[in-house]
Amino acid sequence: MQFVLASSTTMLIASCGSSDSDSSSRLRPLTPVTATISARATELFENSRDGEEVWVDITPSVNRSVWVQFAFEGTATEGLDFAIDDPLLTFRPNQTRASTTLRPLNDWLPEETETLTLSLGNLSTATSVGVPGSVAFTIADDGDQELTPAQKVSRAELFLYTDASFSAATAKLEVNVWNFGNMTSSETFMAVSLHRLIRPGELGRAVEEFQRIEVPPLGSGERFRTSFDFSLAALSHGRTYWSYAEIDRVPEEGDYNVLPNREYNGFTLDSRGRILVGCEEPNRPVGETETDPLFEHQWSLQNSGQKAFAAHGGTAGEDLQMQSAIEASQPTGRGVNVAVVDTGLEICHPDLAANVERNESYNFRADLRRESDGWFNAELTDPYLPDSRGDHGTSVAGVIGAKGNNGMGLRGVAPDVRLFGFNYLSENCCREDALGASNREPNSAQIDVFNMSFGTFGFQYSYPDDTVVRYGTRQLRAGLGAIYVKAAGNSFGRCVSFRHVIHDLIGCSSSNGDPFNNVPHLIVVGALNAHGAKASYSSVGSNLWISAPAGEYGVNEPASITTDQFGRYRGYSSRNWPGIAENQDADPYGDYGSNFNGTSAAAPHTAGAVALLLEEEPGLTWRDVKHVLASTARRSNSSRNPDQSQDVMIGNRLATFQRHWITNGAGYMFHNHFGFGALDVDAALNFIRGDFRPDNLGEQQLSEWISYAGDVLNIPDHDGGGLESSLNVDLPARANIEAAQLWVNGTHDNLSDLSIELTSPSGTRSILNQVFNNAIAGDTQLDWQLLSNAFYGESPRGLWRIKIIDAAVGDTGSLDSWAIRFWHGEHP
Amino acid sequence: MASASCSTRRFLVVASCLVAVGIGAQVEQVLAVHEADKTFHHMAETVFANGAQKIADAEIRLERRGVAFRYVAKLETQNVGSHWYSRTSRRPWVVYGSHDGRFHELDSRVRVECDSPKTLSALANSPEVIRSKDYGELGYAILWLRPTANPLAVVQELQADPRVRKAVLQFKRPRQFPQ
Repeated sequence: MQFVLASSTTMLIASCGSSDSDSSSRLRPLTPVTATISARATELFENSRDGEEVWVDITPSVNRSVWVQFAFEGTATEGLDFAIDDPLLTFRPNQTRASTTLRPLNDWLPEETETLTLSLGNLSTATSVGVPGSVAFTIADDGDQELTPAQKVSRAELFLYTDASFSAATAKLEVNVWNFGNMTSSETFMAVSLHRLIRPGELGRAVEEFQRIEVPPLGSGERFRTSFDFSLAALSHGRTYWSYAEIDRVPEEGDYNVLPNREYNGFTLDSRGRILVGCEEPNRPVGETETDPLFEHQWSLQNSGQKAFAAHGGTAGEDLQMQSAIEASQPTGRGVNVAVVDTGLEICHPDLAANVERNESYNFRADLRRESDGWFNAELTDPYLPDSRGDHGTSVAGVIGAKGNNGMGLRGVAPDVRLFGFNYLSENCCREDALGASNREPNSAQIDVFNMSFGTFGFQYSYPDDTVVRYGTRQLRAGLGAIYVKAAGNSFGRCVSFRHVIHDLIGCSSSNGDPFNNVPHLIVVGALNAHGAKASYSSVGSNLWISAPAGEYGVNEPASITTDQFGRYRGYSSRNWPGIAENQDADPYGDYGSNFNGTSAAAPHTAGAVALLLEEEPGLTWRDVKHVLASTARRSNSSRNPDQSQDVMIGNRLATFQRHWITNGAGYMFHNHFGFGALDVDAALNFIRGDFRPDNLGEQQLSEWISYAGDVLNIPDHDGGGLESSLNVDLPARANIEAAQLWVNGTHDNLSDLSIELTSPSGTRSILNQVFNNAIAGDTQLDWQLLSNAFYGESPRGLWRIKIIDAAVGDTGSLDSWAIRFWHGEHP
Repeated sequence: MASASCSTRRFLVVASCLVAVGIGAQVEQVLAVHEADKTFHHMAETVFANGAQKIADAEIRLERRGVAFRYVAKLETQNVGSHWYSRTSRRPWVVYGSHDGRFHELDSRVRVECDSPKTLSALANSPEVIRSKDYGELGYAILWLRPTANPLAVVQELQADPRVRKAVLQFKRPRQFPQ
């Protein structure tokens, strides 16, 4: 029998009734309670992500707090084979039932079924164990999750892409089918036809239909290309047409997947029957006030939790943090030239036209010297996209610099910026012209900020081509250097070659799969949603610099609201997507969209913010801009973000496959999901208004490649300890790293089995290649230059260590050589 | 003037070869371009004439399926194919790299480093060249070729030109997509 002594306060309460409260039971025995345990299912599997709910009941009901603590027995080990959300359950007074979740963990080891007996261990006073007092679980090994190469192979993945060119009499549709998967597809067929767009989202019957043609079996990485000519003669003038190509879907159990299986390309005929290839200004009434009516929905600029035409709103305060700049209407990007290097730019869009440099934009498809594949009648200085299903570049431009306070639509991050459109993506050529190495046709050398919301799909074995951006950062802006802002990619959930539960945590394809992302002269941007969490699609990696708002899909949760090709029969609104397209009061003419997302939207938010910084301090160098952003980025507190590192047992040793936020040796915080964190505009402006002096980071220098000179090293198979190697760097201790590049060379039966981590002399650890990276699935030759920004500001001097872990059983390989080099300055 | 005419003559030689290719004649000439330790080979027209071509340790043949075709290199351990192209579209310029045992699709541009602007001007006046642009700050110029001009043949000619310090093939870049 146990007794408790009550305090004087609770004695007063006790006098009010005959409760069984501990505190009121002065010198009276507590009412004994019995606790029992139960669970619905006892046969668990390693990959059951939701876990199993475990219930504890106590009888009888008592007016005091009771707690029970779980005890474990069996072959399963806590933390390796399972975890329990609440090892100690506390019952409030009169509460008789409580639960927690038992979560099997996947250690990826092929092993026997584990046993686990969950029982009630330590108990609060006057609590005893009833029947049943324990539950016996089994945790079966998930054979499907064993990481043998054969099980990783999944399927072919066909990707359809169409492109159009025009002559006076025909529209030529070029159709490309890629296999991004790692199996050969079976033969299939494709149908191509032309339809009139009757109303947004609704097509009429086929005006023209081609015979189905065979798409040959495509090996991994292979492509099929063909083209079709549509005659314009029989089409109605003043109408919009959509051509589409459609690949037969393989019914369930098929050996390939098609995403998307139907791809459109639209065009509009003018009143004389010619395809519209230039921007013809629409009539739009100006509002009675200067207010931008859609501004209240622009959560990325000022997040109040508004829904922004989606079903649910975000989290108030999770935005660009530019309240002060908005209220002061200063800076606004005035005098700063920003290039939208993209699919096009609608230079006469009602909400963009005032900010567009009309005679300085450029249409690479309008070159009259071309003999084919161009756009007949297009003007060189009008990068108008004839494809009427939405112009990515026009939407990017609105995020950067839609005109503010003009009584219509919305405003950009930098509402007075000068916009230039270079339709580089419509031609896929001419990087020199589009990125600053040209002073005529177009004059891209006058650009201050280049926005590059694009990237490659899949891994390309090429070294990053940094020729043009090295020139641009050295020579443009009178030697201060242009700023290159690039989207990280949308491949977090893009598990093409295989999927594993850990991909939910670390992502399917890393941002390092696009070689251009590994160029240190860029600002590589990840995407955040309206809750301030990493957007579901945003690619992650050590080459990220910063993150910015972009949103989800605008259906359940907000996407970015921005300009769209104007008119109801053009643009994303012509597809009649959910959102603002359904709300004619908010967008009476179909000039805006509320579904724009991707790192494509995060990059222009950043480019607009950079324009504000350059107006505020025109003397900023490109390195200053990166420094300011890294120094002022904030860490989002969203509960949706990962809150711990991902440690996994490989072989008999623990391996870390994703690191949580780290603070590096120079005091900068870094995370592969976010770079240095979320962009904070007001903080960045305040930073440069403070003691910061432009062009004071010392001369930037590039070290030689510093190479490991030892023997070929075998990568141990399926061993969390991995291969470790080190080399000494003898650079000045006072140097500050601005970027670290790693060059790895070797072979492995499957590169995606490998995690590659670099540790600096300061002890900062950065994962440069995540394990099971789909971007390199199936490759065997390791010859790769990777980038990490995690060491920013640290001294390069000292011992650097590389660690390569092979996480899967069966495949083997070796590291032949590795080297590192540094871009470094001397920071105050 | 002398330089310009010389350049034009060289390109005319290439053009005549290509016209022959364009009408389907069997041109047995095997073109190859060497860049550092890499060697790229043109597929001779015999490949298209139901024949095959031996390049290094590979036998190159044409595989047809419906309206599509591709080149296939039969190697000792495996067969390697190019992309599939439709016979209804313009034939792409595909080369075989004997250094890596892979096919590569060429862009209709070549990159050159000339000894003087005058040389570049002369090259630009060639009938095979649509336009040229000098990226002086980057140290090179780009020549845009007519679709009928074989970039590999053009580069081979340019590499033999003493006024041209360097001529480099340009490959189709990985497609960049909005994202």
